[in-house]
This record gives sequence, structure tokens and C-alpha cells, in this order.
Amino acid sequence: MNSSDSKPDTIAEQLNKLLSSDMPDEYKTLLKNFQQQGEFYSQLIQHIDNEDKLESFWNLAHKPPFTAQEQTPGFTQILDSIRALQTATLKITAIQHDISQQAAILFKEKQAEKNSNNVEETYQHWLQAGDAAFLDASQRDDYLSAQQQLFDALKSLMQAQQQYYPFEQPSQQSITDLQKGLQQLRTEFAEYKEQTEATIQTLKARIKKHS
Amino acid sequence: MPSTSQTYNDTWKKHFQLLMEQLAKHPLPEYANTEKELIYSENKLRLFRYTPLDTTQEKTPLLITYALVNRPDIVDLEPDRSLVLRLLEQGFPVYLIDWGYPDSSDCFTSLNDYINGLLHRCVQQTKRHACSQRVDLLGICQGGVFSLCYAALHPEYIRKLVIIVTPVDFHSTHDTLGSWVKGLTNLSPSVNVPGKLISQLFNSLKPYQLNHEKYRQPASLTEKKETLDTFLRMEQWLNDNPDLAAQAANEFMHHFYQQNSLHKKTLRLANKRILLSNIKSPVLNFYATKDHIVPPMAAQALADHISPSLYQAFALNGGHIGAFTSYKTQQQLIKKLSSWLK
Repeated sequence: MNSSDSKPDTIAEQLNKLLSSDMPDEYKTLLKNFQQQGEFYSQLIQHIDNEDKLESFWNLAHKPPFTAQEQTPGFTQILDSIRALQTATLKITAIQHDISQQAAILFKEKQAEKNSNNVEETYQHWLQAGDAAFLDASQRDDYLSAQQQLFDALKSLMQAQQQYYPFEQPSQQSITDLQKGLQQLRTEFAEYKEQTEATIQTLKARIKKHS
Repeated sequence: MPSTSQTYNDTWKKHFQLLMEQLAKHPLPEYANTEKELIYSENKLRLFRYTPLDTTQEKTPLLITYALVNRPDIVDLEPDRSLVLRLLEQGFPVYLIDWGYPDSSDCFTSLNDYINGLLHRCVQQTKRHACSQRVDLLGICQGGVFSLCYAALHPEYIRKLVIIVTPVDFHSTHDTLGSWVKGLTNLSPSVNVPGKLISQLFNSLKPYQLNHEKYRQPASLTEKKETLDTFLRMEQWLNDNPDLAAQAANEFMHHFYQQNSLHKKTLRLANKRILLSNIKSPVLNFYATKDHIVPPMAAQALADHISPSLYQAFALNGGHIGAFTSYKTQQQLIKKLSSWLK
């Protein structure tokens, strides 16, 4: 072996190389997802082994659509909408915290029932605890209400953004009128085309019959 | 299975490394792309006829209508799982509607435009192209809802109707999606619903499964090339969500999810009442027993509307998509569908 051979890259180094390469974006996203989940599940086991608190492992607060990360603030006119969005997000977060706590309790119960160190079983218990806690919460009135408020806040924000337009741009009303007119024109033309083709077919059949 | 954490971590690293190596030299797999011909187009919509195989052909064309929320490529994902290919092998003349990708100019496309406009014209084009007086309709999910409405409004054009994982009762129990959408206020009337939002909504129905568990085991992908290919194609399809035309999205949410008008027999389109009891053709209803998007009861409710002499239901053991894409259930589906349609 050549003593000057460099050590093989670590997994992290290999991953970074690939993420900076011309690999398809879909593959990069996939690898990042697997890498993140590898870390997630590894930390889960570490926390279990250390008997640390586990609630955070069922936390959905940072996953869309439970966050407002897609929104882009920046206009003074939309601050109220953003505040509404923040309030709604806080409510959802509180409920998510309940889900996490419930899942942690269920997980401990499942782990206690099984007296083995099988890691695969542990992961399955994690999933089952999460699913059970989520199923229970997702049908509750307060959850449905908080979801509704979140979507209403998102809608208000989108509308507020729509109403703000810089100088020398068409107004929303004129764009709306154009869109309505275009849709009507499309439908009329398509219906006309269809009728014409049907008529032509009928006439062709008649001509063939009489010839 | 390794039972200690360290062994598990080491195995994970080994397989993640394998996955990186495989993806580094793996071209993006394409869909099956079964040969087809464009026979009609209108705005974003395209209607295709799949090239028949060398087998005895059935007379009545079969028109596939998929949902608006995803791309129809799922019915032709890869050769071994292609519903289209299985149908072609049975000699069915297969046609497919591709709704396309709506843009802002399509925001006022209504449900009536989709059902009595676009779908109606596709049926007429299919009939003419196939030189047939009627068509067989195969609707999947929301495409099945459209197909049901169309068959109720225009029974004279439909010989037989097949629906797969199609909701009829949007207020059935254990319908999480239904519960969530039921309480929403109307969306903006002139802003299309972003496809990404719909994708996130579906993911949030099973947040732990779809955000975590799905990406836990690289080993499940590295053992066979075919498994990795299938996974990559599914990911591609799952992330390819067209925006929804604002008006149609609003109407669908209001009339179906909120008012449950179809099941309650109060639905109207272009001022005409849609009664599923007006469907005069035989109906075959495939539902999935583990469907979390269209729970079995939501689909089975169709039995309340169709005459028993015309109606058959068939349970597929799978989830919403797996019901017609997994090997085993697809074989069951094709066997049943083929004998029923012929």
C-alpha cells in the first residue's frame, strides 16, 4: 500500500462532495433526507439510553404545513397578517407539544411491555406511539380550530400581498377581468370547435351513406 | 436484524455509503413512457391514445381520468407496475386525460368546465377516434368523482364505469383529510392553490411515516437496483404536484368536502342536479382497505346510490396508491377488471 494514500473521506465529506457536484437535485434532496433521519434516529437511541426526555422526537412544529416558513414578509401593509399567522402558529405549536408529550408516554409504555434491546422494535414503538398520539389529537376540536385559523391567516397574508403592487403595474381588478374573459373565450371556442367537428362527422356519415 | 445500537449505526453507515455510491452513478430513472399518441389538446389538457399491443382488441375504448392534485404518470410509472400496460395486454384500447399544469390564467376554471367541458369533450374525441358510440370510463380518486358526475349527467355515452379509490361520502368517520378541510373558509377566488401546499397537506396526514420513517433505512434501497428505481420514480411523482385552478379547488372543497353534496344528492352543476342514481351503466368500485386519504367507508358509500343489479365493489388490500401500483394488488385488480369489462 502506498503510504501517501490519503484516508478515505468520512461519510460527511463524501456527502458534501456529492451535494456540491452536478448530481440531480432530486438525489441531493434524497441524500439529505436520509442523512437527517440517520442523525435523528441515532439521537433517539442515545436519548433512550441516557434516559433523557424524549418529547422533542415527536415534535412536528418545524415541518410544513405546520410552519409559516414559506411566507415572505417585508411589506408594512402585511404586518397584521403576519401577526395573525404567528398567533395561529403558536396555537398549533402548543398542540404539537401535547402530541409529543402523549407520544413519549405511549412510547415508554410500549418499551416497558417488551423486555428486549432490539433496536428495530424500538423504532417501531417510536412510530406507533407517534401515530397513535397524532391520530388522537388530529380529530380534536381545538386542533381542527387551530388548523383552520392557520389556513385563514395564510389566506389573509396572501390576499394582503396581492393588494400591494408597485407603480405602473396593472391593478388586481384588471387582471381579474382579463382572466375571466380569457376563460370564457377558451370555453366558447372549445365548444364551438367540438360542435363543428361533430357536425362534420355527421355530414361525412350522411354523404357516405348516400354515395 | 442487528439488535445493538452500535451495530445498527454501523449498518446504517454502510448502507448510506452504498446509497451515495449508487446515486453518484445512477441516471434519473424515467417513467415507463409506454408509447402513446396525442389525439386532442385544449389549453393545458392533452388526450392520449396508447399504442395497442399485438393482441385481439376490445371494441369499446377505455378512458382513464386521474385526479387534478397529482400527475397521471402514476398509472404508467414503470413497466412492471404499469396499469396502462396491463390494460393494453388485455386488449383494451386505452386513452388517458392529462390535465396539464394550470397557471394563473386558469384560475377561473370551474368544476363545470372540468366535467361538462373538458371531460365531456375528451369523451366525444375518444368516441370519434375509436369509432364507438360509447366509452368505458375509468376514474381514479378525484378523477373517479368527475367520472361519476359525468356518468350521472351523460349516461348515454357510458357503457361501463370503473372507479378506483374514489370518495363518495366525504363526511365518513376516520376521514382525517375530510375533517381538516371541512372547517376551512373559502380560498382566494383568483389565486391558484400551489401544488406544493397540497403535497404538504397530504404529507401531514401521516407526518411520522412520511417525514421520518420513509427515510430511515437506506438498506431497503441498496439491495436491488429495481427497488431504488421504483423509490426514485415514486419520489419524483410525489413531488410533481400541479397547482389547482382556484375556482375548481374552491368548488370542490365547498361542495364535496364541506357540504358533502354528492352523497346528500344536492349537488348541482350548471344548474343541473347530479344524482348518482341516474347512472345507468354497470359500475365496478375498487376501494383500498388501508386507504388513509379515501377511507373505505367513503368509497363504499357509492352502494347507497347505484342499483344493486348494476353495482359491484371489490376490496384491494393496500393504501391509496399501492392499491393499483403494487404487484400483487394490481394483478388482482386487472383480473377482476378484465373479466368484468369484457
